[in-house]
Amino acid sequence: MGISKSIIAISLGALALMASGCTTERSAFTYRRPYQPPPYGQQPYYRSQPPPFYRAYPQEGPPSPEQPLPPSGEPQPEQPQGQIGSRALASLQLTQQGRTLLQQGKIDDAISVLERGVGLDSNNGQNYYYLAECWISKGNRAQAEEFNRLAGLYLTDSAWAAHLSEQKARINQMRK
Amino acid sequence: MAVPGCIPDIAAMKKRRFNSFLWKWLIKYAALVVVVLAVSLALYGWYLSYKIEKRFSGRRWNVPSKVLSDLTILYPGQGINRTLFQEKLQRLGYRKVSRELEHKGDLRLSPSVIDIFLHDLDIPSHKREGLPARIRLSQDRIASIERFDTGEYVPLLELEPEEIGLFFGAEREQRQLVSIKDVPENLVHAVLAAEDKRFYQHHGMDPWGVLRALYTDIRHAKLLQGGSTITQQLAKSYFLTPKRTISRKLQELLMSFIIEAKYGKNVILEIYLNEIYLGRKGTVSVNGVGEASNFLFGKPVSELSLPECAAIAGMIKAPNHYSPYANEKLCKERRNAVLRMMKENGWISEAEVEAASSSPVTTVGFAAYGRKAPYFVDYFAEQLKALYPEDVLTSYGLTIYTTLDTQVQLAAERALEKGLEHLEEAYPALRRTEPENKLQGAVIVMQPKTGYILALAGGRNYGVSQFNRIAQARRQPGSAFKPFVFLSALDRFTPASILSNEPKTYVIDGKTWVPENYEPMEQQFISMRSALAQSVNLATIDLAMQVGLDRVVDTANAFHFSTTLKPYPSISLGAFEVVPLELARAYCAFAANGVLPYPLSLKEVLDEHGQVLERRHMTIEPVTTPEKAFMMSSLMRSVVTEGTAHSLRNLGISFPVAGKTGTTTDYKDAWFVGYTSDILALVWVGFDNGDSVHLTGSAAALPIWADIMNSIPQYVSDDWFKVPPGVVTKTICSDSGQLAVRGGCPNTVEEFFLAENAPTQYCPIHRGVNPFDRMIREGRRFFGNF
Repeated sequence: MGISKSIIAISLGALALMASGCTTERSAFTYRRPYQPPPYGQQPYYRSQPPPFYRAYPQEGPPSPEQPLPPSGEPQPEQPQGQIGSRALASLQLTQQGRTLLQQGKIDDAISVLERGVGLDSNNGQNYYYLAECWISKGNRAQAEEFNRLAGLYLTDSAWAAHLSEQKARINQMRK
Repeated sequence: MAVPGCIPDIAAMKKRRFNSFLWKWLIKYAALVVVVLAVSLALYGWYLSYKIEKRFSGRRWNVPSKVLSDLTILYPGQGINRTLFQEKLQRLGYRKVSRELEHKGDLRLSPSVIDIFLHDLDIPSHKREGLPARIRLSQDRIASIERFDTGEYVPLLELEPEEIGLFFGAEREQRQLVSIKDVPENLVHAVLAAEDKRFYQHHGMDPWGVLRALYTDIRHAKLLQGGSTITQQLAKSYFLTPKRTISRKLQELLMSFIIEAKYGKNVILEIYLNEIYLGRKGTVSVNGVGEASNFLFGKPVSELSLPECAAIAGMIKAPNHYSPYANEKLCKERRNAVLRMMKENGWISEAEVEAASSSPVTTVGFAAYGRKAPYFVDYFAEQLKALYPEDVLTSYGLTIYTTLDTQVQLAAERALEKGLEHLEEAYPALRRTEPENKLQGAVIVMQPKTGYILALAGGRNYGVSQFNRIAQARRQPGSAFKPFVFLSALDRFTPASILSNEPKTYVIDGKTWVPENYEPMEQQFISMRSALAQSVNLATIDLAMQVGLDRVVDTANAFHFSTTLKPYPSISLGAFEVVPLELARAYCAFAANGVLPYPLSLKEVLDEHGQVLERRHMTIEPVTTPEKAFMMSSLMRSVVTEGTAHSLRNLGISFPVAGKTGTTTDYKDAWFVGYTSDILALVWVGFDNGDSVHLTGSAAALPIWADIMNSIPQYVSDDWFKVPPGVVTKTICSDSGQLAVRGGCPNTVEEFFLAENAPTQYCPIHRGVNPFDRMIREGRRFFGNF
């Protein structure tokens, strides 16, 4: 029984192989042809190196979003001031995430995260500053200018003002 | 020479000759027939083989594209709506447990603490392992978030996006493809034990299996077992229509042999595991072990336990019969039978069988694929279809991330329905019997700074009408358009400027137009701030005429209304129909420092391998200055504090809001657009056919707006807009609108001005009064109070 079945199987198999000329075993997923989307809009421009300003001042002054974290353990007593502070803090977490992505050259990911930061706390001007940085990297002068301007509405202390004007100068050097 | 007895029997010889001829003829033709048969079999085999090859090398399955909401951010201090939040956790597949949290997806609720073992987060911009978190609540706020394994403080917690819809093809099948590498050994063994024990030994057909099945069936006198191998089942379900004939059986058999010859066992098993039908979820069929694992147990296939593997394998025979959702007892019996068969084959031990057999069948629970946020899905599907053809959306398994917040969406849908029902109860004139003629409403909620659409309800019932009243309708905005008139006037006028409130007759194209106020007013003059707060028609028209209608049109055009606006005086009363979405977007600029955002619904599109195909970012465009935007927010704050929307306070809104009501001619449309620095919502109420709702925007639309805001405390704060550097505060005389004379002007008020047009003149009415007269007047006023 087994032999006759094997003979049939082998002969038919051989027939099929002759017909197809293809015998290799492949994973079930290697056959699918990936979908090619139609080109849309401008292609993102990625920098291979993080922009030089990171090396200039991650340690100093205002651009460092590392804020002291409240101690863990018992919940903090509830007070209005604390609420505002915690929202700003949560937004700064996103700023930090966005900055890291930007440094890694993942510009689009950085934009997504920083946008979320803007949505969470629109008074956090740092998100706008780094969004401008992202759009500089992507070569979009108009958006970079806008975000630089918006950052200026919120980041009013002198240290940030200097960074903003330095950023503005870099934007002005971009091609229109 | 004839020998008697040896006479040749001619007849017999003839007969023999004929016989041999017949035989030769028969053999010849039989051979021909055999050759022909063999050739046709070979040809047919080649044809089938070609078909199999074609099928295997192309896409094997249509995987519907999946639409996901945005992720949800939690942080300490944030407001929380417990009902909506718990519903959300349930939709995300978190299961309530009473024990300690052990697995991803476990959830334990108590009045003041939510313990949750988060699922993994995997979105394009962020990947995070699932972690155990403890969310402490204090009243309706998050008091703190910490990891309860390490006690570490968590300043920001992100919940994974939620599935809001699928783009199905005609077959309405849902599956999640799994690779054989990810399928646990237990599941493979369970499936083989249940369906085809000798899978790795046979060549497509299992004669022993057939005999055994036949024997079992005869012994029990009913059809208990089928002898089909996994390969045969695959051939049956994958290539052919379900009918039972001998030729079909032979065809199936032939195909099984070809498949076995062409492909390896693991490839066949992988296809089988992804192909099998495993029950229904509403109107959608669940196919493949990947989706079944998610549908039944809410986890990826790699995390399935032994009893769960056996339960899935047991279902293959009759998915709807043995489904734990259909009959838990039957499912358990069948599962235990599979476990015993696994033991018989030596794949698991007796101890494992016993442990697994005694465990209960715990399912995750499911919601049938309803259309969540259907108007929203329709709205962005329009944009998607410009990028991808329909068949790509229904078959390529794309993952589409959107800006939707399902909690806001539910709040908006519920508030809209509740609000409209309430209006129908309170006002019999609004009741209609035919569902398609009923009172309608629409809501859009946006994040003004980013332009994210958080919620969109284009009508009260998608089943009755799919017309999207937010994105497709054009309605007169009425007074909700007035802010654009006031904005165009800010260069020359200030909130303190005095406007004429006297009736006038205008002549347009030879016709006379005599506008009226909503209610007759005695005041001949009114300040610009009060004119907007009270939504005074005559003063607004006066303002528009003074500013110049062309200028009003230019200002409004900067906000990208798709309507052609013409410089008619009626523009100031919102006579030109606009798309509600465009109106909401335009108001965003007031809440966002004068920057108009692009309304975003689509964020990212990923292919089935997780590669980003498409990405949309927040894009902004300045339409006015931050100073003017602040002035407009300040003016519209008065609408809420002392104007047409003052009832908001009685509706539970205690945080600062700016907004504008809108009511059109004959009360055809009722509007309210309200915003804070964080969130903006537009509500429209009206009839599709233009019948009157007999109500103002503040009576019909405002309560719905308040209901939405009260349901989403996570977006609400006491923050108000920061005064920009170009805006100054002055004390002015309410009568003249000029700087107040200290001790001279009886009614003074603090007012905001743009620095460049702040008043510099002192009040001419009270300036000339000498100090002595002033003292007498003050004294009279003081004593007059008694």
